[in-house]
Amino acid sequence: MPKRPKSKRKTANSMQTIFTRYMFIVAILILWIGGISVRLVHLQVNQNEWLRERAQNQRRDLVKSKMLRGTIFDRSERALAMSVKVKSLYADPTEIEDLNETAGKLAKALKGSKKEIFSLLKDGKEKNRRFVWIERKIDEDRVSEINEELEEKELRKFDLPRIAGLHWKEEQKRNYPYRSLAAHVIGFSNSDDIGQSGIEQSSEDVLKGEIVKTWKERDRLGRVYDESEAEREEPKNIILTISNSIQYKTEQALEAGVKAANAKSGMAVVLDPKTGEVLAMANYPTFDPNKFNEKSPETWKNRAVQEVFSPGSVFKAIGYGAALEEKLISPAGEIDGRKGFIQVGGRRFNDPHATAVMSYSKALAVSSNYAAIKTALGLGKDRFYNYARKFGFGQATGIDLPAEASGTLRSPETWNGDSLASMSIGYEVSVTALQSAAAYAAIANDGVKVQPHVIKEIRDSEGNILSQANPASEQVLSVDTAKQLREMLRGVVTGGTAKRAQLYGYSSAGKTGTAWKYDESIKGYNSAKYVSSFVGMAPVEDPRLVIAVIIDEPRGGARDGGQVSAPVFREIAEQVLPELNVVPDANILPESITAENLPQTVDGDAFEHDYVNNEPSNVQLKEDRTSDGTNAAPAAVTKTRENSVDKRIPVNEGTKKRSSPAGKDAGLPSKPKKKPEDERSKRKT
Amino acid sequence: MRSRKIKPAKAKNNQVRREREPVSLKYVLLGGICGIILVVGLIGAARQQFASINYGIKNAKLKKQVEELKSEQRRLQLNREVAMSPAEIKRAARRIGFTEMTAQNIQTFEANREAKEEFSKTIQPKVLKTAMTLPVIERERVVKPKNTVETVKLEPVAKSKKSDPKDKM
Repeated sequence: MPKRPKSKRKTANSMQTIFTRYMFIVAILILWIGGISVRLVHLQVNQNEWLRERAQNQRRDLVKSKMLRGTIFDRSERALAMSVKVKSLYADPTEIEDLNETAGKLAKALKGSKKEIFSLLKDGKEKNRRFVWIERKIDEDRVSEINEELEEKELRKFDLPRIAGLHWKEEQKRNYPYRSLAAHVIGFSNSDDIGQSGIEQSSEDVLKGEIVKTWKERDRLGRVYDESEAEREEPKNIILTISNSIQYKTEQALEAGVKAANAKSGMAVVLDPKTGEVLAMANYPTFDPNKFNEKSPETWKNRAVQEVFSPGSVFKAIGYGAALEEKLISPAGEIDGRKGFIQVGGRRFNDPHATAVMSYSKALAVSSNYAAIKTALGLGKDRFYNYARKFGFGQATGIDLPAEASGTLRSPETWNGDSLASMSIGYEVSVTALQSAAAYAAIANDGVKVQPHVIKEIRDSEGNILSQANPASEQVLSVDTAKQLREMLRGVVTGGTAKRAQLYGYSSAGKTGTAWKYDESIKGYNSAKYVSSFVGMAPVEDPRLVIAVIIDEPRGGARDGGQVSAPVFREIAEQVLPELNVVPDANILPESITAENLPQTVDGDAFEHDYVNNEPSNVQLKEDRTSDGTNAAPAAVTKTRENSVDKRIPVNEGTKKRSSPAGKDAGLPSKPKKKPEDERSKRKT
Repeated sequence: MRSRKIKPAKAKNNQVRREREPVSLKYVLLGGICGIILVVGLIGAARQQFASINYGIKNAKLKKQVEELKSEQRRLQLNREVAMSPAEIKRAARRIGFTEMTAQNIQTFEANREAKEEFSKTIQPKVLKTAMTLPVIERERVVKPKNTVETVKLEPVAKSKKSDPKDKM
């Protein structure tokens, strides 16, 4: 083999080396790029989500906020409850280096205790908490002040307050601008904006604001340059049937009535009988929902729908209505009540009014127990029960308010021998003020019972109506029967136990009730405690209003519904009817409200439930009143009363003046003096 | 492929004219234009990106302002409702000197006919059944002569004394 030249071999070797080295470098590069590629693929494919999240978190914030709770309006669209945005200050103690200094600054800005704030922050830091409330629900003006106070000039922080570890959180605050007005109907919501009572509670689903998550993208300086949020349905607004004006008048009249009667509490319901709309629902004592914590939970209770009471003689209208419908009686038909008592099921029911033969109209007017019991006995258990049910007793009305009581109306199988008699005069049954008003509304509305309701409409945030009230209605009595019954009830006002319910310029009808209260401690009726009520309507021909007034435990001189509750009815009706543009249909002067011809006896309703061998408590009461100096009518009071009566002048004389019924009339003695008939008729003119 | 021309042996270098290749020039031009487009595009995109960020920031600020204005509107609405509440109106009326209508006020007002007439010269007195009545100052100034008020006040009392059997006893 020929020997290759040395130089050529050398050249070949060096080329080989270069090539090898070159390839080595290329291999390293390939490996390096391959490694990077593998890593990149791994990052992009396997760790994609995690990396994206991290990248987004660097520039994005998730801000959770709650939409403002829906507004509650009255029927004239005045806001009764509305939410506004406020801010709450919280701290992330882990971000704070000098707790003492921050606590000092905070205490100065918030005008609070440095020690308390320091302990809050310290506790949070020790437990590694990242969220500690400093102060909640601060108004916007104060927020600006606090932001000015809390500022670290050298700190690069975009969001306010510019101090490390402190942040604002947007919240909302529920406000009730009309304060205690309709507090029991509206209710209130707690600090977490969850409805706790009233409409706030019952319509929580409608009113509550959804939580909205908003992504905010920030640049390197922390400025937000993009926001994205999911579409959310805005909370709805509620329009109530309540009128703030009528509600205010009702509350004022009720308060005056309760105070005048020195009563424990009172409630009043104003209904439109044709539509079933609750125009006003008042309770006294009341509370301010803005500061609901200041009053006891007992005060928050809407007694008009949540508390039951014995209706007493108010219930008599049900028996009469049923008997009229069944053609068992007629208003002019006569009943012989000379016996003065009736014995049913071994129990004796006294009746001081049953002293002569009288018409059923008169019997209802004077609230005769005898006639009411005889009428109910004529009807029989089943029919009486059925009519009572038809009128809505013993079952919830279905009003859109929470915790409505259904009252008690036992089925006939469970009745005792005297139950029918007791029920006919309003005992052994319990009703709510709303049920009473709804039952009388059926009489007022030509026998058609319309479901009472308090929500008129639900609207969206744009004002579009989403739903409207569509109350159920039922014919309870025929039109004729309802008319007859209204006329009978008118007699109660014009010549019966409710003369104080006579109105200036309007005819009125209704029934008083005075019942002993059921006392749980003695498991029976307590003859020392009363519930005085009056349920009435006006004008009689075409009633536009039904008003139920219940005064619980009146402790003044007068205790019967005709003297305690009827004036409240009058006060409300006289103010509300003109507001509703109801044309006066009666004489300007009340027919017979004079000091001389006030009811001869107290309503008597509370005193009828006497048993065998008992003296009629009616008599006892009268004796009490005459023997007890406090209850006897002092001369001064009598004079005041006569003042008030004499001061009545017609409204068409330009001024309509009379004393406050609650202020003066309610303080009248329960047994007024009687004047000769001729003098009385003179006064009527 | 670029064609290579062999120069004649006797030709001088300066006399040889090199042929220009129009295709390569086109490529250069095209490349340049593409480059320019690319750069302009990049600059435009960058400008748009920054503008978009700026608009985003402005948009976020405006959104915030809208929210703040809405909140402010609600607050004002709330203040209006508070101011229009019956209790607040009553308080305001008291502050400016109105007083609550009571039976006593009406009697006093009714009592003095002269004062009433005098008063009616300035304002038509129309006592409506409201919670409020005329300003205290006005009423006191015009309607409160001591003697007449006392007389009228006592009048019904005297009347009742006559008719009240209890008082006789």
